[in-house]
Amino acid sequence: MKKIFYYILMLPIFLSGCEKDLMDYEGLEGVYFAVQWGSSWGNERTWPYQPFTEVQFMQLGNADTATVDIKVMVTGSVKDYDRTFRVEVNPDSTTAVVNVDYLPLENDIMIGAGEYMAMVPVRLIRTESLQHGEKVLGLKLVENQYFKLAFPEWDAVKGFTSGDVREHFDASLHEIRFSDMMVRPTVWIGTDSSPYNDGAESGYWGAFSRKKLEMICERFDLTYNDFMSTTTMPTVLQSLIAKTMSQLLIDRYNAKDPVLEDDGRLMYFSGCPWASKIGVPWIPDEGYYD
Amino acid sequence: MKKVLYVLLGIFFAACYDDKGSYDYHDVNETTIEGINGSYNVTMGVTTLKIDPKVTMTMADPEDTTRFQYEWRANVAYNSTVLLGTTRTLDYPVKLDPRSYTLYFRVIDRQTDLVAVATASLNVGAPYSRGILLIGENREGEADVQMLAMSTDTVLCRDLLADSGLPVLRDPVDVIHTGYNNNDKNIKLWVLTKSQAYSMDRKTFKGNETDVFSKLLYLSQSYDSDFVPVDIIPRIKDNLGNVASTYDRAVVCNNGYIFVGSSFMLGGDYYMDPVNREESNPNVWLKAKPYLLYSLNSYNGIVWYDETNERFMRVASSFDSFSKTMNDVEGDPFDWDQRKTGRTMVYGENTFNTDGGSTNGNSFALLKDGSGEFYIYKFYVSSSVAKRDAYTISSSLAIDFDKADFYAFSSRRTVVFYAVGSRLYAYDYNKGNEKCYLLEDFGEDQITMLKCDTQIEPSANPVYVATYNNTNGGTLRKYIQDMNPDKVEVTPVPNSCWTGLTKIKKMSWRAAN
Repeated sequence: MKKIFYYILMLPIFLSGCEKDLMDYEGLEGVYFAVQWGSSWGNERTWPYQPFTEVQFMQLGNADTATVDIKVMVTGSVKDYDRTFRVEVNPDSTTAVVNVDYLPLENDIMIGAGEYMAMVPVRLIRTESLQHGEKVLGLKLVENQYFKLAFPEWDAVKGFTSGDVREHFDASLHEIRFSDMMVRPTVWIGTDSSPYNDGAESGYWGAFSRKKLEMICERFDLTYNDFMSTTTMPTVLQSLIAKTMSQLLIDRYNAKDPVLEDDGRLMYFSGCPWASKIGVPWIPDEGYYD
Repeated sequence: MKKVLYVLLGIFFAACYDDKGSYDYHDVNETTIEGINGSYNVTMGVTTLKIDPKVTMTMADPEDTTRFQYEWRANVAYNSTVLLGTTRTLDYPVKLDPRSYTLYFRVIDRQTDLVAVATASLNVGAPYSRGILLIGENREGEADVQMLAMSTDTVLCRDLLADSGLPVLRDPVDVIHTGYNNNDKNIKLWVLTKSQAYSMDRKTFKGNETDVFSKLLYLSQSYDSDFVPVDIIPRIKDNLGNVASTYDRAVVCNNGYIFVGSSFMLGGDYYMDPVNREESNPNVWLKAKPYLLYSLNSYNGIVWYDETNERFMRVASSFDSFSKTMNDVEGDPFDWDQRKTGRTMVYGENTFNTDGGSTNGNSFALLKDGSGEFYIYKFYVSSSVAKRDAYTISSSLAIDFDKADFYAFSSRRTVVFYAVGSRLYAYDYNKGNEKCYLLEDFGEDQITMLKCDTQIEPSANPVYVATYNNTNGGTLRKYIQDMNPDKVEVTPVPNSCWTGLTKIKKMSWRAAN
């Protein structure tokens, strides 16, 4: 008889393989910045997590403001009621000024019932000073009654490598670095200084400058973003720009109205008969302006 | 004790038991399909796929269409299915796009919902990959493209434009396959009309109204008129579809504008601003005659004729943005600048003529002066352009030369063929031995096209003559040039006369897809 009961008792053990083992999450209920970006060919399943976000007003057309949504995710179980987390400006890393460079931050963000993430909307203002330098708006998550700080010591996640991987950072903090400086775009067919040409500019478009790019945009009705990929800036358009702009510069030169870069050198595109070196101002030939 | 255990186990595992139950069984009709091959190779637009399968049934009549439904389908897995027929026998003129399909034959028993299936591989080939393209007008005066497709047999493919998806076109100008290119995207099949030029799908000959030449243009300024090509070079130079250059192309449009482009430099078959202008006056556009003169065998730029200033101009490279004048030297056989002569160009042609050491082929220009005299200029567009000779057409010998509808220069001898109405002439311009020959009179048939072939058999350089009459339609004939030095004769090639064609305006060769 004892044996029967023994078998009966053992049956659940024998049959236990039929039951799926679904453990409830029992870890920390917290929040962290979950911002991912990286190479153009990647996506959220491959981009690494990043401690900062870069915003180039130059790529946003003529917009005076920009709203950036910063993703925050929660750890712990999903709840069937609304919760809020708190985000504040981090004075330690912030150089931007409220109401000048950005609008006041919404500090308490709701995580809806059944949700596990939310966006922190940050509204940036395009100011003239951004053309000359970058501003930083630091954000920090602050513990409240619902959430602690999930990953003050974040380690890079394996497999998320489509882009620059930051191995360790504090995922309770995030920086928004924004500017309106015109940096050399992705597609710029030219070099600042050629060792084969005594250090002069070379290539189709020579050295990059804001003035030069703006001249191209005006002549061809393009925007800065058109220079960000070869889809919008195909080889044939690159070539057309070089030919047209060099002719324009030659015409201006011949009309005694030469186009100069900010350092005083003659602007250069392939096809121009002159050489230009960065930092070396142009000296007109004697009698040029006669 | 053990019995108790077995009872308990039985209870625990009861759910695992599959209840077979007990049922009544009846025989059902069984269908057998025979007579379908493992694979079928057909040609789009040419083949009619006919299959007569044997369908055998154990308990029913296969011809009972109220009970049985038949279905023929061409399927591409996870992609598409096309219903080909709904009768037991298939009789399907193949209109599927060229690719591989799985052919399904299904017999559906509506009474029992049972389905019998037989499958086969169906390989649909493109008919338009190799052969002679013909463009002309149909009886309604609409532009029409046909093709003498030449694979194992020569098959005439009709109504290619009518089935292309393009609207009805008129005023056909040319049909051009641009030939072999190591970049598939740069291979184009153009249909040119007076009002527009369309790049067609090379496999299916389907067209789209947006696939026009202007789509390839990147311009630094706006222009008042549309750009519609009348010629695109280099042309195919052999029956394999090779061309003089796989990188360079030049296009002359019906408004006299010329474009040159290097796919190597521009990243594809694209063009920048026109080049029919001089660097010294870049905003003044010179109107070009609709001929691009170059060496058929090796591309070294083009020579074109400036109608505005009556002179030949040069574009030496596809990298150039402008055209240049060429120098005349005392003692030259002719001048590039024709303003002093009062002559103007009326026709131009590129050949494989090698006179004067022009190994890659001389070009010919036919000029006419105010008094109606005609002149032939022969030159070589190599890395430098060399004048080879000039000839005066004897108006007393060359019968109705000034009335000719078409001209064609021989690559093999000093002969220009010309057509006046229904008559085909040859004029031998060999200095001191000038002669004119009436080679053929086609009577009621009017000559609609004349061509010395430099694409299919460039060495033999046969003469193709297209004629038309309202009763029989168009005819294309091929003639061999006889090489008797004392006489110009042509001989019809047996089995190379095609009838029932469109009113042919131009022909050209395509060697591959």
